[in-house]
Amino acid sequence: MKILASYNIKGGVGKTAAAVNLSHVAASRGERVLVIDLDPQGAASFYFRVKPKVKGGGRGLVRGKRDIDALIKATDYDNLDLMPADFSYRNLDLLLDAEKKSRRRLRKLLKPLAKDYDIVMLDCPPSVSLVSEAVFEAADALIVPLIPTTLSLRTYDQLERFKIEQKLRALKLLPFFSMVDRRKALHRQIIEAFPDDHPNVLQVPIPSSSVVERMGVERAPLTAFAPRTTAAAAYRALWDAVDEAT
Amino acid sequence: MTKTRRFAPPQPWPSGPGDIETAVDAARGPLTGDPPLESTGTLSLRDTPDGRLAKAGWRLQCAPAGPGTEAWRLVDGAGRDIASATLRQPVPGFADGLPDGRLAKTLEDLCRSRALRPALEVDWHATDIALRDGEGKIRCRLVAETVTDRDQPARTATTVSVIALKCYRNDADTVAGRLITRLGWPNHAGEPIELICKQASGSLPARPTHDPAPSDPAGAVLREILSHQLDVIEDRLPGVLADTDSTYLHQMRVAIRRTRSALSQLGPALATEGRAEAVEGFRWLGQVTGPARDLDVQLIDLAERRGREDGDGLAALERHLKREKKRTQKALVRTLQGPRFAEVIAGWRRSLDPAVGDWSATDTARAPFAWVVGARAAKLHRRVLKDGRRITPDTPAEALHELRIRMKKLRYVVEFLGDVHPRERMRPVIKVLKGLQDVLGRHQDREVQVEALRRYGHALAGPRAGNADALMAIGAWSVELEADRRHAREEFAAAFKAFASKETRALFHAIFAPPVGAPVDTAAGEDDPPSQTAQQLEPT
Repeated sequence: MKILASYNIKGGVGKTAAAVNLSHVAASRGERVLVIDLDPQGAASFYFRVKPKVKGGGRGLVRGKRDIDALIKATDYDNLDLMPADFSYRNLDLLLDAEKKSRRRLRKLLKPLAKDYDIVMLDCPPSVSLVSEAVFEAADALIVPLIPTTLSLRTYDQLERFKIEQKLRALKLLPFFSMVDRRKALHRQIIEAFPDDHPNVLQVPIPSSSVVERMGVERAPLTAFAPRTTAAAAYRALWDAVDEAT
Repeated sequence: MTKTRRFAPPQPWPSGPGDIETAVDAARGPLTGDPPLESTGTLSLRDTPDGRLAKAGWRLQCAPAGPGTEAWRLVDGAGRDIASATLRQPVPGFADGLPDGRLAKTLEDLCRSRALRPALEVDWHATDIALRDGEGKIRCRLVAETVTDRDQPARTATTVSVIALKCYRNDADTVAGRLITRLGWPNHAGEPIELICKQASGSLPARPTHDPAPSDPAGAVLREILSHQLDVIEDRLPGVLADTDSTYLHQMRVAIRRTRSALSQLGPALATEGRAEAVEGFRWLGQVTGPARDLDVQLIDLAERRGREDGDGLAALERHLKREKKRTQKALVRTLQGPRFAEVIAGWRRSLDPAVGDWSATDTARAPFAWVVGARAAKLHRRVLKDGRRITPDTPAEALHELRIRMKKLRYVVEFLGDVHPRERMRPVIKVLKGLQDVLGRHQDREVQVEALRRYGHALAGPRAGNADALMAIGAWSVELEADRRHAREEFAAAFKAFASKETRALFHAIFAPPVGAPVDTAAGEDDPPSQTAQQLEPT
């Protein structure tokens, strides 16, 4: 089982869109995929039309008293399941902190899922917190959407430094450019220059597109409701790049 | 991650264009149904010529999987996956041609060297309707699947499945409950293809599918049995001619032997028209098909031996046997495509036609089948017991060969009774018969095989084909066969003792007994010799 996390310290960069669309692409190619919505805002759950409610809430999840399999729901797509968000996840930091070996807790909770899933995709809340650290311990790779702007790049540098400080040697960082508008000179310049210092960047930019925004209206992965669009093709290519890198 | 509950609507279903919508409306409750998604495809079921997969309760489902590929799924009776693989076309005809993996291993274990041929081709059509809640989330799905036999379009079956999604089981249970309460549909565990298989039974089975009663007239039942044996011969003919699998010839020969046994042992119950010609014709057919079968057996034994040990000698012998087989096969094909074969088959087919042959002309033909056949089997049984008891360690081998021939006759006549007796009653009887037959068979087969090896040795030792390794291998093999023949001879006493025991005789007598209420006084037919009175024909 491969554990991937869609993560950025910054919000509004396309984390959930990436988690949902990449998971759908992987599932459509026969992988057994589970999306875990760790963000109390529950955007991924919303996209999959699943109520953001988990029996026992964050406490039940973190303590491991409930069978994790019982918290998982089918989506409308073959091979693709979801563990929905719960509003109590806003306190997940505190709940984790109350546990022993809190950073390793998430990895331990996910372990029993290996027999049922090939890929677990964690959709993370934007922040650097104990939840993030638990995600870094659990994940094999972080898929990091970056808007080609200075501030966004700055947060990525912070993330790289954090990885080094925490000695997370096994954790792969897979940045890619999201919400790219090629009409903007700055976007073009950053996309061109960034790989010089960051050879690990995935060379598949996701365009800024109204069809991505329509995911909230359609409440479905855009690779499902608009599979022939440029954005959907970009997500499919991005999945190929992620799959190859992990 | 899904659970399925399947239902079988009253067939044929749907009978009209609105049936599916009616079912959805009856079952959906507050959920809303999506427009139906239709899909179609083809599927072929493969099996060995003797239906090994069907007998194991499995199905090998093969469907196109993309350009130049085919997906093979081995499933159990409930449609659960046992093993699967995607294969490039042309797909292999035998399990040992499959790529390594679970599918290859499972099929090799079960099918050995038998061909995997298409036994049934079906078209399928699925109508998939998603049922959604107020949020637009799919809660469960209704899927109607119809499968139609390509060769016989009237053979069709439909099931409707309620597919539960993970964590939404209650919705599916509620929908399924409505199908039961509102439409009265019964649960059905199997897939529609299983219903079709039951109707089609894959390929022509080796035994007739009719179910006669013990008291049915012997002539009529035998006509059915023999018609079926003739069907088997004709059905296996293309396989024998193509020589894709040795099983075809084996099964054809079994049908020939069964026919010969009926002709020789139950003659008084058969129609007289064409009987003498059939006796002669099937005797000839047994002879002309023998050499090719002998070589098949030799090649199978050789393949098994090569699995245990390998060497240049066995390889040279195999090459020689394959050359011989090719030559023999050519001759067999010429014979089976020749006028005499067609004449024998057509003549016997005419005799089996009730408009031509009178199958109720004699008292024996009109007497109850179980009585007539049971009496004949009882007589053969007594004779086998008598002959067997005379055999001592010093008795010449010919006596054992003769006993083997009688045992074969007894076996086939007893098997005819299998059509009217329950399987559980027949099984121990056949088992005991096979036990003694195996010992007698080994005794004779080894002798024949040693003689055959000697012939091959002579051929290989000729001036142009000298092969020392092959001769050494033949010598070693002959020694082993001879040793096994001696063992079989030593085992005979114990095997016969088991066959002749009081308990075993009681098993035989139970199936030889006439059916309750059988008109015993009418059973001695006019064709029976005067000494064969009802009393003598009565089982002991």
